[in-house]
Amino acid sequence: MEVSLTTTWTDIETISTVEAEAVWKVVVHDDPFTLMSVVVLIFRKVLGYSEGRAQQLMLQVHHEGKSVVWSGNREQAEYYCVRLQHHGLIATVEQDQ
Amino acid sequence: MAGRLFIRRRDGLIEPRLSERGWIFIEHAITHVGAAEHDADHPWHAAMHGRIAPEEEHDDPLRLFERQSAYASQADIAREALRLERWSETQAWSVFATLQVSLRLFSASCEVSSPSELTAEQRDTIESFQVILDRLAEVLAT
Repeated sequence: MEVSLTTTWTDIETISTVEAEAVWKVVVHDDPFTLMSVVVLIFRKVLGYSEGRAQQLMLQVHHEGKSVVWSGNREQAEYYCVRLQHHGLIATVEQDQ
Repeated sequence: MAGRLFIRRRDGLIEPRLSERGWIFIEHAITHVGAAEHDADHPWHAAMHGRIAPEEEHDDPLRLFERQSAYASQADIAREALRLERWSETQAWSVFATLQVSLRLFSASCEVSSPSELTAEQRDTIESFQVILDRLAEVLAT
């Protein structure tokens, strides 16, 4: 049986480059049962934000139903998303369109 | 369960000052997270094993498994902290995160979209979660 491996290194490199350049967003969704003070603390702990920045994002989640709390590469976005979920927040990862 | 439920000691450790009812409440909440992981009939099982935001999240079985395992590991650390006179930062955060996960799973199991739809008993339970979480958050923030 003949095996044909036609993908070139250039193809692979191009795919990797496209993937690396994509921007992924961590989105936190509003939960009417979670206290504001709890959300602020979790943002500070997980994302390393200042009190003011954490408050601002928490208020955006509260008023608008969700907020993009971080954006960047996929691996890091998934890491933050999972950590926010481990702390009981409703968080998802979305690719920036 | 009012007053100072937790205090930050000078040595940095956190001292829980819970009543017997407070300890029992926390104990039950933490135990339920562990039970929901394994028991398919547990009322929180569906919320724990479902997608966290079905309309938003990509279907990723590996991610779900990773999340469930972390809930259970965190609950294990929190369980070890039960009834201790002092908590390290790690223990306090594990209790805090597990209680917040418990609150989310409990509220999801109530199948309501707003607090006004809760029964009186459900509202009491959620308020108990909120009081403990708020007091613990206050101490962890310092």
